[in-house]
Amino acid sequence: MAPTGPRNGAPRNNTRSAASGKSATRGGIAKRRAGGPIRVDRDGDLDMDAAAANAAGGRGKKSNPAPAGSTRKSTRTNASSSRPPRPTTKASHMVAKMIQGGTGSLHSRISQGIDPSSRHTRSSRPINGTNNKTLIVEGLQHSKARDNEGGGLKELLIFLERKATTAGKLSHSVRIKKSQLKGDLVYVTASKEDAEHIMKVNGFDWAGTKVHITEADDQAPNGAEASNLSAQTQDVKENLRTMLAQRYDPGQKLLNLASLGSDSLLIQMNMFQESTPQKLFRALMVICDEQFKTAQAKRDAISSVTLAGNNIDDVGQVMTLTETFPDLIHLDLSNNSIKELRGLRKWQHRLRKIETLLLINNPIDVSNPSYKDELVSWFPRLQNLSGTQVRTAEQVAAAELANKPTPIPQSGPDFRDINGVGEQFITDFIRGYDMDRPTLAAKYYDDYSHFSLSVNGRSSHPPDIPLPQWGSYIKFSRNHVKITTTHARQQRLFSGTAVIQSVWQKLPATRHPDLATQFDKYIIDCHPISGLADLSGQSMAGVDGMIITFHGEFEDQDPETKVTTKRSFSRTIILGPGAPGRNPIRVASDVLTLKAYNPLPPILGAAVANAAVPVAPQAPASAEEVQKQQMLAELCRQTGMNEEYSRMCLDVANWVFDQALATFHEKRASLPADAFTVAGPV
Amino acid sequence: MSQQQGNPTIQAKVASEGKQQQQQHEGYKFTFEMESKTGLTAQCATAAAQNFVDSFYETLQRGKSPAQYYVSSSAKLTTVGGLRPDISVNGRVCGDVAEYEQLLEAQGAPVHYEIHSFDAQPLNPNYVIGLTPAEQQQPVSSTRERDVAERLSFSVQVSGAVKLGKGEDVAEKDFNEAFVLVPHWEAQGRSASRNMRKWLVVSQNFRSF
Repeated sequence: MAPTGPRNGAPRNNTRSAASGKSATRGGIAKRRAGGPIRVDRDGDLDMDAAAANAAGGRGKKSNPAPAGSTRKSTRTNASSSRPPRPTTKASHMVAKMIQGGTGSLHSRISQGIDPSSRHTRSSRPINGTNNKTLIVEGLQHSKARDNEGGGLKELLIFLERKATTAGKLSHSVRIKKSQLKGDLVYVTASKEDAEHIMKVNGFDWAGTKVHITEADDQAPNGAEASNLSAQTQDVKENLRTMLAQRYDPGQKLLNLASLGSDSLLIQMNMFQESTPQKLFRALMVICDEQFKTAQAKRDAISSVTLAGNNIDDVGQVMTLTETFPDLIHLDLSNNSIKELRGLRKWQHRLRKIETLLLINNPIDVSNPSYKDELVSWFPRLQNLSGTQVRTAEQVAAAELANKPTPIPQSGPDFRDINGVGEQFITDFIRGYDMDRPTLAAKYYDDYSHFSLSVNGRSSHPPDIPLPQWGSYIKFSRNHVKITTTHARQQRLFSGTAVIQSVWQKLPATRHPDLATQFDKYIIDCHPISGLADLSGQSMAGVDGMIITFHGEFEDQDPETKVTTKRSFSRTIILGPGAPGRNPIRVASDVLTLKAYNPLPPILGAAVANAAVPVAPQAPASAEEVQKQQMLAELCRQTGMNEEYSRMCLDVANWVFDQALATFHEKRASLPADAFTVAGPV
Repeated sequence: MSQQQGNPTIQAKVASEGKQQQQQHEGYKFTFEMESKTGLTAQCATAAAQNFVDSFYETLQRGKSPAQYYVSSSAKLTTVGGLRPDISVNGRVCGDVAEYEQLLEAQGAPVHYEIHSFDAQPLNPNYVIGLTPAEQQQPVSSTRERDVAERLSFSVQVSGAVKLGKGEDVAEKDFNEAFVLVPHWEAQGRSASRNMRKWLVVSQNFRSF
């Protein structure tokens, strides 16, 4: 069966493909398969409880007849155990009648065991929504099915659904959401679309008669009967609520549901003739649930429940407890009939907060003494199991801490520079980007350099800072999450000095914090990288360079509005050897991401960097380093080259000063002008 | 990072300046050819980055090993090319992918990566590390997208949020991650397994804020 749309009320967590679970997906009050109702659990798996409980009930009947006045928490009562489990509408009708009047949604909630978190939305879904249509079906009273158990209603509905599906040649199944027998007429409600297909069945032969279908004027048969029903259910509901109130101890936050079978009010209400205990329990849980607006209110009011003395042999019989109280802390299941772990298995992945579980005086103590170890492993917070301490609160806390995800710790800058090239570049770059972008672009960017920027408009930011405007940047943003067409992505990649210069000119003027004095406002990482394009064409295998990723902040001023805005950025620049005749270092790739201003976290090691050496991967400077600094200064002084070139020169000469000086004189003619400081050689 | 044989490093460049000027003409001829490819290379880089970002973070989210995304999974890139991935996570340099995985493991689960923005640029249109000298000499067509893609390396920068835990306990941090990816030679050709990544990470820099 194909899934139907959400408005048809088939929740995602139900499986419509499980044929026997089909009725469980219905939103309407008429469930047509019950009698040990087959339920679907929240994962969509068929709940095997019904069958298991029936089997258990069967055994119980032979060996352990239910005492008068008490009741087994089993799917079966005397009434239902006399016939095999078989789909019928009765059970569902009964719960609905018992607890509710017109709104079938409540019933659908109980019978489906919906996850409590999704309850609100489900219960607010109108069952007689505007997308539904009600039809009147005649013919049941003359049919042969009239004498069937349940009056033939179930058979009629199955027939309608099947024929409507085949008549409409549909890929999905027609679904009747709600049905009601009123006199000789059957009112069925389905989605408008499905209702049209059901209309096609009009005049079909069925069980020795013809089915006659007309559209109902009203959405549903209202009138006196319905309101009577409502009043009656309201009455029952009120009584149950009273009973729950009597059994609630606000001081201990305890809901005492022990020995329900001998509850005088329930006996007085004739509950055990009207309903099965399992259904009664579900109804109780729904009423409980209704008392609380939020899950938190529920947690605050009820932390403990006792279900002692209810003859439970499988927790499936009280499954809704864990749906209504998923955060229960203490639970007493003493004096029940749980024989095997299997009887508790359904709660293995529930009750995640349970700390106390009492199973005193259950047969499992004798039949499977080793069950305790397994139970401890099921419930991570369990500390008290039947009065024995199985964990300490500290152990629970430690285990939770160990399981809690923790962010990868921050370390200081990972600045694996090559001969100060990165340091020199970043200083030059930040200064140049603020002061003189055209010159910066001309120096480091060539015809094969790329620049692009992305606006990340979803980054987090301090709550006291208003979100920035992105007007000056957004038209250039190449954020691939937003810009998805090949053409636009192509257009927003800027290549070549001239293009980059012109884009930079259109971007607002910026002011970055001073790298030397405000180094804590930056995080700068860099490391060497191989295989870059060699613009000299010498090396087939490519050349080595470095990749610098740095994060920081800047202030900009909108050229039109003159508004100053602080922003954060991350920028990845890949440096390689420059083209022949150009600056020895070039930018191959420059990827800029802009974000709302959010100060960087203090990182370890940032304090190490002092004003003189903005980026210090290792402190403190060794004697060798000091000597190198002296050589560098001396070479600068003697040659007039700037620090960058002097350093390169020394590197080539393996920091032998005289050799470096010789290299300088040899290469002097081919050095570009910007290798020298303004003053020129002495 | 092992240096390629015969690659001029930045500092060697100064020393060999004169020699380079003699070869200048030849050099620009090569780069001019390169430029004619730029349109296609940008397109390839963009598509490959999209694919990478989509699946890499999915892998991390599922708690699976990301080993297949790194150059260490290619014999050619590691043995012939002498590469190993350079992984820097919040300032810590991981010696290998296994160490990175340990960091991820220590981070725990559940973890969810929300990608807010990413961008990619072509880097080297003729990346040859890991190819034998003979293979390097084989010319590559610059007009067919598939051929352009074969030797392309590219850079990616991702910006987003990493969410740790679930429900009320979720801790959210912004992150930035930069990658350089290079061709996976073993994944090329007709007989290559289709499950292989077409590009592999040679450089990764992660920072959370």
